[in-house]
Amino acid sequence: MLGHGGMFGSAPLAALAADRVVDLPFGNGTRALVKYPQKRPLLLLTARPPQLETPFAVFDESIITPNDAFFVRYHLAGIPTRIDTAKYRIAVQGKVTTPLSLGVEDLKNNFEPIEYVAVNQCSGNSRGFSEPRVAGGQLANGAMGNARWKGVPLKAVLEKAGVQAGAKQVSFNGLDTPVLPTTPDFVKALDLDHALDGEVMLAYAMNGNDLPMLNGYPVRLIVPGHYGTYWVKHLSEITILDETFDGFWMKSAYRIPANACACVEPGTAPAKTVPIGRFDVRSFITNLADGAKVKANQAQTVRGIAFDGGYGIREVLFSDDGGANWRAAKLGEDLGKYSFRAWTIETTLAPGAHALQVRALNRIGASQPLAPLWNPPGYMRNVVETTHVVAA
Amino acid sequence: MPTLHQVIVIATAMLAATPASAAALKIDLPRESAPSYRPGPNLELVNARCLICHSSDYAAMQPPNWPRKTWEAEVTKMKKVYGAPIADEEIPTLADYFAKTYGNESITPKP
Repeated sequence: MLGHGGMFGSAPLAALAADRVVDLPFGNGTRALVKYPQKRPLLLLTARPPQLETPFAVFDESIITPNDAFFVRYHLAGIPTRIDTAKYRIAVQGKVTTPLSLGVEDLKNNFEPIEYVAVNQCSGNSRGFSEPRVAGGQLANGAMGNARWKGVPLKAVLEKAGVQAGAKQVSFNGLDTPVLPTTPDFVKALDLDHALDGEVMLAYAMNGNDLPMLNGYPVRLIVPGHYGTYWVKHLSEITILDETFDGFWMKSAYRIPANACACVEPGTAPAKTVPIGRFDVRSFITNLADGAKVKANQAQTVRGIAFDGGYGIREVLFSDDGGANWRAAKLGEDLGKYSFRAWTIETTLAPGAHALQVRALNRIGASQPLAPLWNPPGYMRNVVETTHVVAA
Repeated sequence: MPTLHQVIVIATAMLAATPASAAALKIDLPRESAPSYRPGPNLELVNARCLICHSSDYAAMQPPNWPRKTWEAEVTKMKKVYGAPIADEEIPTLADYFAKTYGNESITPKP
């Protein structure tokens, strides 16, 4: 490794004046486009710890989100900026027969790899649109991304360590740490049967390359179909527990109302909550932005993406008359049940204003609400999106 | 012509993208663009307490026109939930600052 850090001392090297801003359509939604290491300019939510949102136009470029455009979300400012890959280890510990200490080479050489395409989405993606507004990261729709992940099934690692009888959950810690010892460390947990489903992955490759540092280099947990909160970055400890993990980030944070819609009357608090889980169904138009001007009386293609929590998209319906009539869009290549699914449809618009809408259904019949649902943390927004265009 | 700074940034980006065989990966984060909260009453206390764990954009991105009680709840959460070293008597002072500077008691137009 070249010692480039030392060449320039400790002065901040990559400080760049933001020359462009994006105005997201909600109050205090002005975001600078800022270039971070291994990233193209992304929407800056917060500098410390870094939180970066993907500009929405990226989702129209390709069904796979490039690594340099993939969103970044940290909770705690003690993030790793230098990782010595040869010394990096993941401890597998707790209620196991044989505790393990695994390096990246161990994962690559001693386990059968698996690979699949899966969406990662922040629990609070689209939070900025919550009405009434709620506290938290004020995201538009760009805290999501679709990548091809390669790595080792967590199941194989746990079997190698030997899970003891009576084990109940598995917790996951990464190298990021709180600034103060009084702040709860970011640790997440899955039920044992979920951890052993053969799909949850310790990923060392993303779209055929190393993971960018800010996306969890060198190894992050992939929990397909589930919100990004579980996708622990810079994975360092896997602990098998014989009880339900009671750390702050499971017991108090990332919880949703314990009902079918994960929603409550806007402005009220839920009586009971549970940990957030699978994605709900979402779909977006990607080639027309709200307010776009299009040619009237001329056939044109509208395209976009749809995804869900891992059942797979069955149908995408499109309306160009504000929801009065719906037509089925043509689905693109199926890259797997956890992937974005591309869709296209032709439409010819008369001169004037039009409301374009898109609504996906998955293979268990779940869909998207026509009016937004609300919960206090602003999680799981999946209202049918409306894109207003003017044809002339 | 790129500036020296841009050259350094490009060089850094290229090095940071060194492939899998590298023994280490190191990145250099950009400097915080707003290393202080906005001018307002008791700014020194605000910067001392609220820059320990995160940058000021955490406040700047929150919805405009939050009332004092919402800011007081946020400050209280930082102390009780996230363990920020804020004395009980400082909570109203900090809430006062945020209400007047980022919230609905702000008298100056927000940037």
